[in-house]
Amino acid sequence: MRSSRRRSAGAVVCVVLTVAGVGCTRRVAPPAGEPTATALTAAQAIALVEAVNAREAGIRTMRATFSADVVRAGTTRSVTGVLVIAKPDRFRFRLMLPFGVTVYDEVRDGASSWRLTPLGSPSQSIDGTLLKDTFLPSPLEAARCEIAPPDAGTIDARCGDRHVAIRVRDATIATEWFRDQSAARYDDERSVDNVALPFRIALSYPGNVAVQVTIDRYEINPALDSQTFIPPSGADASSLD
Amino acid sequence: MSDERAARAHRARLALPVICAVAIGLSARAATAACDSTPACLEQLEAAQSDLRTLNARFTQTKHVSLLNEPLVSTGRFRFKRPDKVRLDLETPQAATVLIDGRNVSIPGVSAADMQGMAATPMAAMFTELGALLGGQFERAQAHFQVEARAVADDGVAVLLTPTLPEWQRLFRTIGLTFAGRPLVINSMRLDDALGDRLEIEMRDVQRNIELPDAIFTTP
Repeated sequence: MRSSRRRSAGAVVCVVLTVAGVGCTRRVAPPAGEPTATALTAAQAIALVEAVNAREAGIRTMRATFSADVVRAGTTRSVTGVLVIAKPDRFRFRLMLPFGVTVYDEVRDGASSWRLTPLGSPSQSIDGTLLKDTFLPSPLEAARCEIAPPDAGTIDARCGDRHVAIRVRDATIATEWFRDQSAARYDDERSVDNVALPFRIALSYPGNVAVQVTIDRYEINPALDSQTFIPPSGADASSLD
Repeated sequence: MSDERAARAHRARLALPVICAVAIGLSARAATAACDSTPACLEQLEAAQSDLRTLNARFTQTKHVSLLNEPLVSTGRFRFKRPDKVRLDLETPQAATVLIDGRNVSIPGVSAADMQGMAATPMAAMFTELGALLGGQFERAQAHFQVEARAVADDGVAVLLTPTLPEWQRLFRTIGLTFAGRPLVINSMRLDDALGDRLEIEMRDVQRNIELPDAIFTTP
């Protein structure tokens, strides 16, 4: 039971991290046969990928608070934020300046999106599609995955536009790419309710954008208020289709 | 004749303390009992701030985010220098400094280019206005806010500002200020934003008119 909770929490963490634009360290149970770096069959590698999906499926809702430094064109911007996710396709993301003023609010519900920028500052705009891919990743389709042989203790799984490096020895995701030039790396793993979670995530995006995210708190499968995904008054609506 | 002179002198000696007592009493009434309408409360506040040059205080900031069950709490130091210089130093949980010098606003996390553009935005104007309010310049605020003021406990005065400009309403629905103590000084602020979030700032260890050099209000 404890093991189950740990796996579930690990999946939640992954969701949280991805929400924060961070990604996560997912604990996955080693597949049958106790694979090693030198003897990992294709079936065992696919089992690892399926274990990743199983962890993510255990996350129904997630909430995280974090701070982030966004480095773009040599300029660093600092924000604090709140991320709320409800699978399969709803999330809300709010960014605030360190002294409390909200600068960005976005709601996604399926293919619809609403954004509010109270300051009207153009630099606060965020690539919502990238956020969606980062925060609500689609399951890895194991049958479509190209899985490379183990290298330095990891397997490299390319599944559609997701690219995941899974550490074989401790069954965690080492690094995850959502697109060719975007990457998330995890650090500062700590135990939260007996679940190992990364509290620092380094993201890099196309356009030479780097984001250092520090997670302050995780909540896995919290009950969410019915108003959570109601678009704010005055928000700009758009369709993602 | 000498008896009459002595009597007048005696009456004068008696009258002096009475006059002083009445004068003091009138002064006290003027200072503390006049807040029975918005104009009267604002007049009282303006009078209290008339000799205000600087403010220095510690603060606790509590952000109630509608998406969260628990608030985000931070602490720091607030400094104000008349007419419109403000410095906020957040110390926990994350260090950051906000500087306001007239229309120049420096905010961590906002690039210099954005800052330049921001100087013309409602936020800069609103922050400048808030700085002026701390100096008791409420007349100026009435150009952009509907202002209501009332007496509160312990001879304090509460001021509620409701932006009248649509651009400003995108930032905040209302801004509440509470003044307390003698002389009246800023005691707390409450900012309700358009998303339903609420920012509460409680001041403590407030010091008036200590020396604050201009240099601390400018970007290094």
